[in-house]
Amino acid sequence: MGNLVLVSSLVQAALLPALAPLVVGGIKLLKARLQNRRGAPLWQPYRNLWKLWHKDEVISTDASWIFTWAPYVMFGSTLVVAALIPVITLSVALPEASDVLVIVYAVALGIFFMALAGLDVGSAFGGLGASREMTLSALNEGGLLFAILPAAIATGTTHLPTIMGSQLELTSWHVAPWLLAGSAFFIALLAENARYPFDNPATHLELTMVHEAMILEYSGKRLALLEWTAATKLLLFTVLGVNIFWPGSIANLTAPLALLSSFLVLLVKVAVVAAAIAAVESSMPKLRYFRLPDLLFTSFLLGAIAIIMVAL
Amino acid sequence: MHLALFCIAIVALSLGGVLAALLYRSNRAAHLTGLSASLIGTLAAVASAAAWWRSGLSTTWQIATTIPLLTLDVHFDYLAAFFVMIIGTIASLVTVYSVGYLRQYYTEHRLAPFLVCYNLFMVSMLLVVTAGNTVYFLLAWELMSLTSYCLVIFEHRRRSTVRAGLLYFIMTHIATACLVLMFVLLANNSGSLAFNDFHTAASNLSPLAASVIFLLALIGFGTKAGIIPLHVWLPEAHPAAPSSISALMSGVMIKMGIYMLIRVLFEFTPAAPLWWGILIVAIGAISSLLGVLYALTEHDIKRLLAYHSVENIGIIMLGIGSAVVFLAQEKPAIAAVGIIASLYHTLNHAVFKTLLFLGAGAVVSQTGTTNMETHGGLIKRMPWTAGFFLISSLAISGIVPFNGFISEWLTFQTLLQGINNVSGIVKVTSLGAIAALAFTGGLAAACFVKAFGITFLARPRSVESEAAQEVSRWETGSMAALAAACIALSVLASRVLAELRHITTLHPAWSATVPFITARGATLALDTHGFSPATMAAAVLIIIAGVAAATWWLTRRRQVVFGPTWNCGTPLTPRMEITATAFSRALVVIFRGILRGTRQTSVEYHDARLRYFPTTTTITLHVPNLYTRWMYRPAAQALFFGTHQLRRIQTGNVHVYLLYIFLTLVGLMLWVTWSS
Amino acid sequence: MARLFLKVFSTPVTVIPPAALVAEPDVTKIGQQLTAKVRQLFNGSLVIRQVAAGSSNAEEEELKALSNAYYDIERFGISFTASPRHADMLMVTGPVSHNMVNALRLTYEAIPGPKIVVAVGDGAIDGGIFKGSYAIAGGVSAVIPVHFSIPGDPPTPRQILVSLLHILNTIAT
Repeated sequence: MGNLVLVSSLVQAALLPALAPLVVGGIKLLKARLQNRRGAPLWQPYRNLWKLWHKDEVISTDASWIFTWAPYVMFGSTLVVAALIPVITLSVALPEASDVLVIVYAVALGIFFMALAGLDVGSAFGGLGASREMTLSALNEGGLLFAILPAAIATGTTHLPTIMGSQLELTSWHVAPWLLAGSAFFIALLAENARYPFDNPATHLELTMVHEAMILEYSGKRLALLEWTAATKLLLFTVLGVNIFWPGSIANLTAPLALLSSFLVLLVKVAVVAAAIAAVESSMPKLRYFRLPDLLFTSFLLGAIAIIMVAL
Repeated sequence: MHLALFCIAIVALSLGGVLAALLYRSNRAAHLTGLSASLIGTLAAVASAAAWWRSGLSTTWQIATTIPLLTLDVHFDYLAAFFVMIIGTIASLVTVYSVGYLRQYYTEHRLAPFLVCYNLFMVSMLLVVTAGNTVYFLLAWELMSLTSYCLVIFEHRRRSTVRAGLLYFIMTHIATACLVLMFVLLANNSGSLAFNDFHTAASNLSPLAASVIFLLALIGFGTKAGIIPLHVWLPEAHPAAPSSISALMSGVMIKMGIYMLIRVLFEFTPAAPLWWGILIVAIGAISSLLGVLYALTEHDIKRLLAYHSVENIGIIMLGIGSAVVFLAQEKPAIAAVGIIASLYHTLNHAVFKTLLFLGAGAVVSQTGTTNMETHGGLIKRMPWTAGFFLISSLAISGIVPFNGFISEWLTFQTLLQGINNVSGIVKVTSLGAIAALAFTGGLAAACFVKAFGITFLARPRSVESEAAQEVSRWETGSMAALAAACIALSVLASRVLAELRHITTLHPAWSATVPFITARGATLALDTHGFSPATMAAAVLIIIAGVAAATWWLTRRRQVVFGPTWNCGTPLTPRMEITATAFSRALVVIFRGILRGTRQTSVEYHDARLRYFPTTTTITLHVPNLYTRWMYRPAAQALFFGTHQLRRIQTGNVHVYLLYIFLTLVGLMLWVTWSS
Repeated sequence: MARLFLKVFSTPVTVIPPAALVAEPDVTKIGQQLTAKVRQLFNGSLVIRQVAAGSSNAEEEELKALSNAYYDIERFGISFTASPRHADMLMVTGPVSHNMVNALRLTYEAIPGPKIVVAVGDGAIDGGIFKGSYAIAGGVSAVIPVHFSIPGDPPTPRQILVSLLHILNTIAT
């Protein structure tokens, strides 16, 4: 059993990054269709990664080891999180580390290094991007935690497998707090992954960039790793949200058929969330930077109301 | 055994002070003797605490003196030994650091007075945590305040330093005044000055007296610890003092307040009502959130770190407060988690804050300024310092897998149990505290990206930063040990937690065998079978290394070219880099409701009438000190007003003074007659 | 929002089919030939950084049109970027004015290899109507090595698109 759990965690850590570009490609494709274009094929992100992987690199002479190591730290910490969260089975390799707070602060490791890498090369864009990213992520931390906390309070623990396992029964988890916390999580997901209305992932304008501004200096394999990390993070948060707020695709590790079916169900759910993101991005402008805190506080307050409803 | 070692520690430290004073003519000789003595003394203190920890029996060793009321009670229990260990470890590492660091003062200062105070400062802290008697304690406490004051004003030629020292001096004595009053009340109740008797007589305390004692303790020890709004001396005194002293003060001395607060709350007044806990949690939440917000507004690296001390004291208070809350509700198991969380955070903060101040000290000694706006690019010039500063930055931001995360996680878990509590007010307070803690975590990360990024990354912003060099082996060695401790305290968390459990024997409701089970039956995983930060850290490290190795192997044929930073086809200068002020400007604007920041823009034009081509644009962001303005200044004015009124009785006429004496005597006689 | 999506779904597809592009003439090759490997690498994933080295903005307008719902260059995996570090192809428009020489060279150096340089428009090829002016350094090839050029003043988006597809061997010749 122990070996099986380890294997399943490793498979999970490999599977999520492997599927992640598909989600990004899907969102892009859907957005293109909504703009009445054909758009790049679904597998376009894979091609981009493959190409970047085969290109040379130009590294700034001002860069230090922070810049060269940040992509590895980011990708590595995302892989760790990918191995930690329950995806289609509740058994994970380090069960006690599969904790809401561990996840949030392990993701913070990546953000920390990303922001430092933005500052490292000394360009004005990188510094601005780092400042914006840290501002948004600092304000988003409350929303992100408060979106998951209602579920944690309903189950009395921050342990993710326990939260997700008990969600199947929907005992002390009612419609209103569920809806509120779910919306809070969706806002936090958009902010955490630099999507509309927080950031434009396809922008060419340095002055409006948040996430892109920090990776302006990267090229070749490191850029590939960073884009891959961004895609994986999006899928990770989607899976996390889906498993908490839209339960039903968790199977027992020892039942292969059930695993397969719950994997397929999960894929459908992720596709629905991706479609929702594409719909939001196609019908909404990017908000002014100083309007973003309002949205983040909204997410935080929604979570707080949900907590009060659950705790009372 | 431990007593002998403890005596050796005290004697060695005091002797070191004396020897340094005798050798005052030669800075070098005073420096080396003073520091070797303090190294021996602090190591002996660590050894004595470790030796005591093995036996684990509370002991009080009494020496009667001929001075009335004064007996020297050397009291050792788990709490005291824990703090002796923190003092000893941190102080010994700071001493090693000082071997290299103090050399910069050779030419302009006399080191002997500094070293005398330095050694006595450590003696006083060791005495404070082992004192078992009121008068003895107050003497040690006062010695600690005075020696630290002298250390703060070491660079007394700067006017700002003396002013900062004066503020510290006043604040610490207001605190001491509260403490004297508190001890009088305690002694009045127990009829004795010994701490042990306070403990045994605690059940006789009336609720009102207990509450007054609590409030006095909160003000007195809270001032030392630096809770908001009593924190005003911290951001002034820390930048003024030499960095090794800031490190000791922030890493160790402010924890003396926490130590005594724990002792008062759980030993002297064990029957704490609910509202005490709620008050402490509220203060903790406010201190942590405001502390980090004020830190964000700073561009002086040492003031920034000082505000982070306020933040971390707030986090420690959250743990203590929730312990009081849960004890009042008779849930000792969860309360134990709260107190362990706060003790763990005390330990963690001692390690990483010392490291941060030592790192900042290394930077300041090389660049000659604490202003981050002139730093930059130091990671290439001071690679070791940068690496250690980075580790402590990650640790203080509570990022996995470093030690700050473990204690914040525990605090969080305790507060989470508060939300599931029966009492509505506890629910609301816990919810607020969790919100504060969540935002504090994120804002601290933002602040340390700024502190590390602006100081060490990009290009140097001044000639001094350009010419900076790595500091000596003494300094880097000491920082390396602290950085290793940051990692060890995370990796060996379950071991540390097992030891910290012993301290919970402090309160009668706790016993060492309390199982850590939460209300709903899920384990908090404090035992060795639970959450293993060691495995987590190993997993993170192995995967990052694996990713790096795999990438390197798969792309080994690709070329890496080095070129200038992309700057849209124009040459890059350090002036284009983001500044510390600009980095946190957005957050200052977003929190303008709390910070009340003001912005001043001054532009100089080539041609003032045309106003098209500015030569320079200066933007000054200023965050006013609301506490001075709304609290301390009115208080001081009221005091001056009152004393002015009192001056009227000073006529200078002898007859009037005789009248005063006569009236006093009559009054006293009446009082004696009526009261008997 | 419902009206928006209703309109989106009721609008007929306007994108020009790839089959209609085959008949267009080939691109002018100058400089060295690309290796088959590089063509294969960039076929289906090409990121372009455009530099206006003194152009009249005519070429920019045409390039901008490439991303619209008629030409939809993205369906071939071609996109534009802000950072030369992310780019595979440098598109230069306009005669290189003296003020832009350094910037152009820096941009070229900032692009990681393998990279393709394309001069778009007559101005970029040899100066066009500005040929011989004291203010220009000559065509793009006077400053950095150029692989391909797309003639026209300005070339139409259709020409540019077809040329790009020829460069990448997306369309068999």
